[in-house]
Amino acid sequence: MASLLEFFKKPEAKESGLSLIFVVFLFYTISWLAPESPLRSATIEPVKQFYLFWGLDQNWKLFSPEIRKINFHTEAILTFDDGNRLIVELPRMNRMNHADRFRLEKFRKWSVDSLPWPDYKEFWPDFARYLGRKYNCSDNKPRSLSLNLYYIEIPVLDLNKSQPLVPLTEMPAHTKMNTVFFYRYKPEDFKSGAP
Amino acid sequence: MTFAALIQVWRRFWFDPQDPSPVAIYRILYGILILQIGLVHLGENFGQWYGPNSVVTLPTVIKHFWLNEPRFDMLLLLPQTENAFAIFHILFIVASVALTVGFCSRFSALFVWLALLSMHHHDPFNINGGDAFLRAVGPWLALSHCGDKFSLDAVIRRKRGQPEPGPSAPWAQRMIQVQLAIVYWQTFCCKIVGTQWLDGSAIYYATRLDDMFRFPAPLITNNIYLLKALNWFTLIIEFAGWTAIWFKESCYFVLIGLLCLHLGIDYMINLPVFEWAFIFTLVTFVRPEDLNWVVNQVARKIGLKKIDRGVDPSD
Repeated sequence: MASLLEFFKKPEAKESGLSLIFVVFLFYTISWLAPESPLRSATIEPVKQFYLFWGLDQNWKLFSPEIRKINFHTEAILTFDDGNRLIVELPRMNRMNHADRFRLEKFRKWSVDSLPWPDYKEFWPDFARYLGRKYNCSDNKPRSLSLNLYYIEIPVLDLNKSQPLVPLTEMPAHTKMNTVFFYRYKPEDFKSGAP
Repeated sequence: MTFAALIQVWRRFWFDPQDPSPVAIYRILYGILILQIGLVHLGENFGQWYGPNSVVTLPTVIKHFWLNEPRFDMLLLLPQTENAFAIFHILFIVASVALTVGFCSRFSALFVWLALLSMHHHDPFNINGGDAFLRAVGPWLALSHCGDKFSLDAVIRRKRGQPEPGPSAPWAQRMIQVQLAIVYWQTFCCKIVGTQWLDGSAIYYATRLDDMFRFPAPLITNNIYLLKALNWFTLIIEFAGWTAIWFKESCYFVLIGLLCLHLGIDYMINLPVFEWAFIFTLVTFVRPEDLNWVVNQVARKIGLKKIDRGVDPSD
């Protein structure tokens, strides 16, 4: 036992131990980033919970494989008991000054990349209740919310034709619309501490 | 090449003692970015993102994002009151200042990483790739010798008459470098399986996203040949970012190329934190003697005495 302890005090033992950790970590991290397949799923299964718990999961598909071909923005429309409507426009970065665009990056990330998309649908009722509480008046409560996505396709680039490119400043307005979510409020939605 | 030679290369890469200047400078830059997140991007909205009355509620996150499985989240340990979350926010800012100036460097780095991890788990919908990268390198920074130089820790050690720490095994710094190479590897591999990056139209679409637009560059963005050239440059330099970057002869050329790539994106596309998280990490690839030379030149210019006497080539 003493000789085993002596061995682990040697620099070579420390280096061997660390090397083993590096190899295991890099193997699983690269496996994690590999394309989806049964082999990948089986490989990462033993470490999946550990990786997720410690935030070691990664994904670096930055601007890839495709860059989106639409411009869009999101609006929430609250309808109140008296029939009045309130339009809540989520931050539109192209209408802000440079300082606000910089400062409100987290709002851009949330309202553009998350909020209007189906991957986020479980969170839409939370968002509706959040806005309901924010704009609630005791004598005129919000009755419903609709979350609308306004969008337009970016003009297609035809690489085979020599045509003048449409500059960003002349991009078409977001004239198409989808209602992605509708919520009818319940009385308990306005209580403090409601989910 | 023999196995013994391969093992020697491995050992030299991870364990040959090295001056900790690159990782110490990286600590300062990383701390500044974290401070920017805490003060500017979270700022007065911290409670709105993470507090008890946040837009994204914890029960929904636990059910639909954690899938009812455990995740590390220090915010769960706090009393669920606005004040408790405000105190956590202040602690996060204090830790990022401590990390920047190098006070209790390793502990500060550890706290910053765990705080980032907690916030990203508590609300995963407001983080961009830069935030995720800072989280990914956080544990390695905490395990590195980032406080050995250019830090309050070093000043305190000197005042106490304790010996200066010498060169040390750079394995944690190497892991930060490897993490950056992994980013370029995956993003390159994902780009070449799409159609836009291969037909040369990707930069056209990237520069037409109105929610990300920053400063205009019409001479570039309205010229199809330049857009195509930038498209190919991006692919080539991202390929070099995980291959040629490891060779001494080509490393600095790759670093300059990557710096141009990220500065170009940062000029045209509004993605705070994102580009600078990668630009700052390029510092870890600069050779210590070159970095010390630059630091000493800057110190001379601003009238400070030489910060690192031992490795100034002009001595």
